[in-house]
Amino acid sequence: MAPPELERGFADFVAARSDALLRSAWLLTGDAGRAEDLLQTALAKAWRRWAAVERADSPEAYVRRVVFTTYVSWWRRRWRAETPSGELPERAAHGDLAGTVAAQDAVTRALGRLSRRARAVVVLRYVEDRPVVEVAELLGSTEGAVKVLASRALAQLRADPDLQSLVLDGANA
Amino acid sequence: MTEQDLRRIVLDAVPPLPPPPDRLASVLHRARRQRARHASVTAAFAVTLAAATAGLLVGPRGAPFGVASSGSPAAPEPSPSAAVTPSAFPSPVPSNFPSPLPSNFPSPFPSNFPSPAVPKTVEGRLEAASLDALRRAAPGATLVGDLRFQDSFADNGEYGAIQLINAAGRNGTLTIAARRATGKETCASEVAAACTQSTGPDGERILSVPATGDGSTDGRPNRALAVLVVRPADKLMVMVIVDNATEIPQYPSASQYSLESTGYTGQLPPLTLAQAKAIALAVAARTDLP
Repeated sequence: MAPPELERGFADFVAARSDALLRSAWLLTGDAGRAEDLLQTALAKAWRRWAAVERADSPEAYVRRVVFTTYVSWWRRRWRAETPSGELPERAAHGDLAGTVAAQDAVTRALGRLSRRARAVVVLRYVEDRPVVEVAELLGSTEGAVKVLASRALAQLRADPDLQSLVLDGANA
Repeated sequence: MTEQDLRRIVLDAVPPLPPPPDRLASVLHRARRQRARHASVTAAFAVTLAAATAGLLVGPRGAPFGVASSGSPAAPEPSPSAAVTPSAFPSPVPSNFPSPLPSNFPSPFPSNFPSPAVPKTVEGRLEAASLDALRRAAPGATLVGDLRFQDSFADNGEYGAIQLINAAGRNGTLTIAARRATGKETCASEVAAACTQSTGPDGERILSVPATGDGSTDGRPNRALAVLVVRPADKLMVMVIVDNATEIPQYPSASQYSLESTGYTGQLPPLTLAQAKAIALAVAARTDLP
């Protein structure tokens, strides 16, 4: 049985940081259910070592690392037989729903054409704007490998017709 | 497209992600399930180790039950291939696969010769079973290196291995994994619409999934096929994936292992569905997880 103060600290962390981590998880998985599953898997792993994690400089960095390494390092996303836990709420409708959904699909398709590791690099490097050294640290890789992967992935995304149309739409808006 | 453009369109695409009713409770429940599983595995390990030491328990083909890693997040075992075979005895599964002997070749060992030692670790047993199954299902296939199994340290105790393979003139990647079955493995649970379900000779549930994978290389798609064999009585699942990837990223740390592959040829995978099915069935028949 964990001490109540330990569980309180973990609960505070979950309440405060889950939204940001969930957004990263969605960018990796492209699916709300799988993103929640990935986040909860990472949080459960972190909870098992929370006494040490909480004392670290940045508990969020630890959990974020678990999110990305869990995503990158195993094939479960494609072939696992588990199903996400919990009921997923209905998605709220905002403004131009058709256009929003089309943009989501385009981004999901474009990111989905990258390898899992390249996708993780794109999210960390270009979306979350993290320096190369931090991306390498998070993914357990080298700076050189991250640079190569990021460059190739960016070139592939630039050539992606789905994303090109989104860029044009944004410029014309 | 600038990096700023990319950042904007990707961030704009993230949909509203309302939280589930009680995320904290779900997370703690997952953690408790995981801890209970680790505790039971550890206890079973202690009991079976003591019994095996006393010579009371002997598993199939003389293998001691349960003498395997417990799935705790320790450093991966060293390569198990030759660790338990007496040095003067030729390994039944040499690393320079394939075996020079055809599968119907009479045994070179006299009948009173002690049988080759069974690898002590679950990783070693999986490796031996997989190489033997591959040799029988695809005699002409060649792997470019060891088929080294590793513990994924995942919640449900998964062990997996990946290696480049050449067969039938095609290059690709072979992935074999084993884990505890959840009992929910059906075609309905898989992402591929082309999944078909059948029954194996010993009542195994077989899911066959030819699919296009989730990546491409310069427009050449990742073509894959996967076979999942579930032995409900043993609560065991073995998965064989063959695809046309010709590169396996190397990571600096053994603990960062991955079954990731890339460099797709766009061609058919090097093994057929029937071969993958035969391998999965054979490995499942010889696998006992801790």
